[in-house]
Amino acid sequence: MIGLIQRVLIDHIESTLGEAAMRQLAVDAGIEHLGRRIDTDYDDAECLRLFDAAGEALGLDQEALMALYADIFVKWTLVHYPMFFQMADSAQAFLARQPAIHASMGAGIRDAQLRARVNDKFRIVEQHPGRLVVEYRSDNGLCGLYRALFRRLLEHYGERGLCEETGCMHRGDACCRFVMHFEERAA
Amino acid sequence: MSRAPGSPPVGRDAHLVAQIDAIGNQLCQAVDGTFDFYVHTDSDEIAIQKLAQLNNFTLDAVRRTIGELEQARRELEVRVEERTQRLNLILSATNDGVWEWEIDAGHVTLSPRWARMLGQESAEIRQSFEMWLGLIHPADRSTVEHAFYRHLDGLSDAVDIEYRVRNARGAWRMMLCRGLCQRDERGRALRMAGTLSDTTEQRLSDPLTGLPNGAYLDLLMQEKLGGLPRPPLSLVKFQLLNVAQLFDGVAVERAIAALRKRVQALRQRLPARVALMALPEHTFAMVLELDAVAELDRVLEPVEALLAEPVEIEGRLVWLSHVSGVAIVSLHEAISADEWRRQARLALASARQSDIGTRCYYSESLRQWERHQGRAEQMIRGALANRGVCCFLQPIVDIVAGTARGFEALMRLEDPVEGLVNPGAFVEVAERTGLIAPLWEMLMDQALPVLKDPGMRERFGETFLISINLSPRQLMDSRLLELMLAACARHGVAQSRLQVEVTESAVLSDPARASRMLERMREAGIQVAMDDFGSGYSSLAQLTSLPLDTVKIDRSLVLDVSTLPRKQHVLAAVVALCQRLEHGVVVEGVEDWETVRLLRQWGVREIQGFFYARPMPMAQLIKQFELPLPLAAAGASANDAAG
Repeated sequence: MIGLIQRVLIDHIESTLGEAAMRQLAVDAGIEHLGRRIDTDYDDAECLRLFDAAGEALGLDQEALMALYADIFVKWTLVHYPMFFQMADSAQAFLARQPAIHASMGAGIRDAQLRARVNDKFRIVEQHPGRLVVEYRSDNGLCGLYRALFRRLLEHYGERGLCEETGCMHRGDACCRFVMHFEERAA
Repeated sequence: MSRAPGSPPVGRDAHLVAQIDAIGNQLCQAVDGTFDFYVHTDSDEIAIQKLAQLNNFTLDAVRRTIGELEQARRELEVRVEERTQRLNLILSATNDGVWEWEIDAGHVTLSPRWARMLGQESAEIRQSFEMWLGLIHPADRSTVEHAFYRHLDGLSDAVDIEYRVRNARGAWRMMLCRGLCQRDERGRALRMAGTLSDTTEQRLSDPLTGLPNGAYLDLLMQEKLGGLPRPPLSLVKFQLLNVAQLFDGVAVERAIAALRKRVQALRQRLPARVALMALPEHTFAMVLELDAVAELDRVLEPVEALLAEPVEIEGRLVWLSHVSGVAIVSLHEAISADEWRRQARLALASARQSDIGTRCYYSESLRQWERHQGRAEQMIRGALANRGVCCFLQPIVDIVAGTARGFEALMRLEDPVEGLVNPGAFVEVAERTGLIAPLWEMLMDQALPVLKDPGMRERFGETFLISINLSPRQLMDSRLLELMLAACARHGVAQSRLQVEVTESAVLSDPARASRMLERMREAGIQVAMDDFGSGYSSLAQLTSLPLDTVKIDRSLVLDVSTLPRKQHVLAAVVALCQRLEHGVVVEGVEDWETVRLLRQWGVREIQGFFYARPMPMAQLIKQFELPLPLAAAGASANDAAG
């Protein structure tokens, strides 16, 4: 998993619970060396364990954790990657660019297979005004995080919309498929 | 942390600068145009990591774009290669050369195949458009230029033109040039490109013999006549008259192979630089730079000697008959190719009228002969169009009974300029042109009513015959009998009162066929007479083999017979022979009483000649012709007998 995902969570835990709590969280998750680099791909399993441990430490179920994470992720990236938000004037525009942004995070990975795995996770399937269809393909199964990000981005842009997950790997589908509808903003 | 301007960074600033510098240093690798590297940073600073990460993304995008471009290029190359191979395959299959005219640059690029087609070194050639046009035959050049510029100006869909071009060995080749213009978005021509096909084989070569053809001869004649200084020239044509004999009972391909072999042998008998060309109707031609007959003999005699030798085909020997014609153009004579060609054609036509093996040279008298032939044909056509065919009658007199045995219907043409024209002036042409058939039908339509004419019946009774000549060509016409029977039916006359006269020469060309035809006529009741017997190559065998009723002895055996004892012996013998064979005998050309008296002594009854009457129209005949008194009864004088 790209290091950015992990880094955002680490920064939040340290800032809210303290560095000692973060170290304990890493121990609880069975992570020996906690990676903080945003340009590195870390072990998927370790990362997922870290998320589970954080949920327990914060007393949040999976959905609440994802909602929280989406919020801190948006805030974090607004600080460190403000240009991505400036480049998009709507949630749909941001999400339409999201696969490319995601790929840019893996651009430094030298292993071609690993880099391809990062690149191939998100794919725009359909794109029309007010409608966006995206496929997500990852063993990490973080489709809940995507849905949470969708809601958080609508909030950020002051928009309304709906995300249907018409396919889901948790249900045995080949990939997760998000069919997103965006209401037109009032002038 | 603040620091004075120009002072080196310290602490965190120094660390950040070092990290940024390290990234910059890594990016220096891009100056080589290679982007296959990654930017790395050890910094814990998110901004530095971000910088490295986005540089990597940019590099990745560059690599991907380059990769995609490379892939597209490779695919394009493969497609270009495939297309090139296909095009090359097509071009080599069609044996075509390729040309490309860069219009602004003014040069033409020609493929190696194009160069080879013209006998040049096999390499791509670049030359000016003008130089390219310079290879084209002068007579074709303006047409070719016109075709190119018409297409350039958008007036034609494509260039598609055939022309002659001289190759590196100095020989003319025929080329088919096709091309198209490439234009920019404003329709301005950028370049023109196309193919060049060598059509020499189709256009300048005779498919039967493989020799150059008549079109090539035209080229050669133009070139020789245009040469400066021009040498004396002779155009020689020879024609094989009976090539059909080669094909008789032999597989066609074997006959063709034998003919080709003979033609090749003829070619080898000629000087190496003299081309032998094949023309239609088994005619061959050559152009020699000679005008003296002795020198022509030296060149042509070996060829004629070979032509006199038989061709062996499937164990059979076939002698090919030939004639030849020569038209000489002397050193300072100005002549066009058309006129030269016509002179040679005339010489050959004259040779055809002569014996086999004849070589005729063009002369002014030949020209006059041709003019006469031309005039005769026009006269015949005029007579046919204006019903100018006149039937003259000459009686065949039974001198013993003092009656008219029959009347020979003789043709005259009524010409507005010449007046009445005798057959000698037009029969040969009528026969050659096939106009003899309509002439003959017109004559029949005038001759058959004579049998029913009241004046004729009153004067000459109800039993006289009408005798009409048949030409050799008519005798070989399988529809002839039907035509005659139809004519008799149309005019309501019995065919038993019709007699046809055939000459020895008419029969000689195909005696068996002629015999069958004459037999059928006799079966239909038509009487058959051998005309002009004794005038040519008389074959006594014909007197026994042909189905004849009557033999008409030619006037050449009769002329002066009364004063030439030796001639009397011959005529008496011929008459006796015919009588012995039980043929009726008519002696033609009798002009005096002494001859009548002699003939009567030999038992001849039927006589035709000026002594009794010249040929004349029916009305005149009825009015003026008096039958002689019967000889046996009268014993009268010549004048009395002639009436």
